[in-house]
Amino acid sequence: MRIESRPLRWLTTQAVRDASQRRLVPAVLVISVLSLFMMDSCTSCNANVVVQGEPQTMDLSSLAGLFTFGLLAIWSIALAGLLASDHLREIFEDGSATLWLARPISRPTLALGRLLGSLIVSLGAALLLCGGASFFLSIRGGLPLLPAIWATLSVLLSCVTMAALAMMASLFLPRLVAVLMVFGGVGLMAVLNLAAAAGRPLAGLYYVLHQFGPPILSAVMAALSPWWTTGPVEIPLWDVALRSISWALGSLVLLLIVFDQIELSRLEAR
Amino acid sequence: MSVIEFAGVRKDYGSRTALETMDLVLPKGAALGLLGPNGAGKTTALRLILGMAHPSAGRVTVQGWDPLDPEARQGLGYLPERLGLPTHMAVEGYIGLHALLAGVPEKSVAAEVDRVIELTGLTGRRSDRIGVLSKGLAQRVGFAQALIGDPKLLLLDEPSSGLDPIGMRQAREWISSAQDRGCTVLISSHLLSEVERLCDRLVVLKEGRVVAQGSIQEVVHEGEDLEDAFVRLINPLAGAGGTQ
Repeated sequence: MRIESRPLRWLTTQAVRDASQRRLVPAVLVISVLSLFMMDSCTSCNANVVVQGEPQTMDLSSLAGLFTFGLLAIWSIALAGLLASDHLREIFEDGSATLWLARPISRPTLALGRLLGSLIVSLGAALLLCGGASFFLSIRGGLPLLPAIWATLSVLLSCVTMAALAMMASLFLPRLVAVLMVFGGVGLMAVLNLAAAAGRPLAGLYYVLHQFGPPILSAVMAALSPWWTTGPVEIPLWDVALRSISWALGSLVLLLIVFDQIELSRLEAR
Repeated sequence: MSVIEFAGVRKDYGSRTALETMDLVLPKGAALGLLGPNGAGKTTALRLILGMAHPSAGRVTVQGWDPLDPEARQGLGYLPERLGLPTHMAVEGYIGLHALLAGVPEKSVAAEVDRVIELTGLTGRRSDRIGVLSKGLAQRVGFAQALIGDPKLLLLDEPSSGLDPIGMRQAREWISSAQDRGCTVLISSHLLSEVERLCDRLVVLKEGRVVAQGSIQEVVHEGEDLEDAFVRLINPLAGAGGTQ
């Protein structure tokens, strides 16, 4: 498997330009900015409760932090899969892939260029959202910043995993099915990770998926564990970190190998 | 040395055979016309050369390499029948990107883009978005990207598609000029006159089978023109009826 560095640079630049032309991207930007405003207001809230006649102020920043980060992580990861789900496929449908591949470049170079193109947009959005959340939670809530940085890194790794898997699925499945798989997969993994963290017993396929699948929410919760003092089951940090890295690298390599080997003529529009 | 070689190549799509045992040797500098009705297997043959399809049996080599190897596509210019151009890109930006991917040195890209833009008559439209161009102008952009970097091998699928008579004549000149520089050319076309003018050898396909192959003199019998020969080979009954 060969990757040519200079063509990769040109193809990635082109893929970013193509991604920026998509109608989805302005929508993502608007949603991201709105999310930042939402974070701005949510992270400044406190609860005044009366305990045995004594008014007390409850610090909700830890809870809000976990909730906000979890939601943003799920949204960012799903977005990465959504953007990648047709970024390679569409150039076969419009016919331009045939012309790129008539040039002396390897197939993995084209696939990696398209993946990087979509990832630059989706990782940018993820960084904006998770970085913004970290900033507000740290400044407003006084929560330590380092866990948020680790959590952001784990989100970025999950974005790579989901984008590579979605791009690979798009080579075999119709766009709608690939998109549904992205949302279904991210949602299912998030629910399983959350259920396991809450101490709910998982059995059969659910157990296998939680234990060995991409730790989408487990990695975020493990990284943010210094933010909470009680509650969820302890998540082994190194296990989820290793699994996040393995899934990101594994899905990336798998995409490149599959794209290198499959018959591409069936992807072309007839 | 052969530039393209098919050795016992067959291509099946599921239970359907698109190409049935094709043997072909295209030497350097030759010009081959690939003829046949729709669905005869012409585009499949081109896909096999480009590595977009894999042979079910036999072996294809391009410039001595397996088509999946990028080396096989060094100096290759390709113009597909269904031209997929990014509508949001400007003409010169698009051709410039192809120049880079074709291996033109970065410092020579601007000059090479100027050359093909002028050659294909796109000088006044170089800054336009491809999406606003007419079909004929888009076909010229297709030619420009195919001719970038002075290719050694040109694969042209219905090259006159969308061109007006003047454009068709110019296109023949571009192809002839490339041939004069030693370029090997493979043209798949329905326009028999175009193939007759540009090619020195023919492969006629029918339902995935090679029904005739050789120089034009070998395929076209005495007293008939290429159209008569094509009808005779593709539809023997119509051919016989026509000559009676």
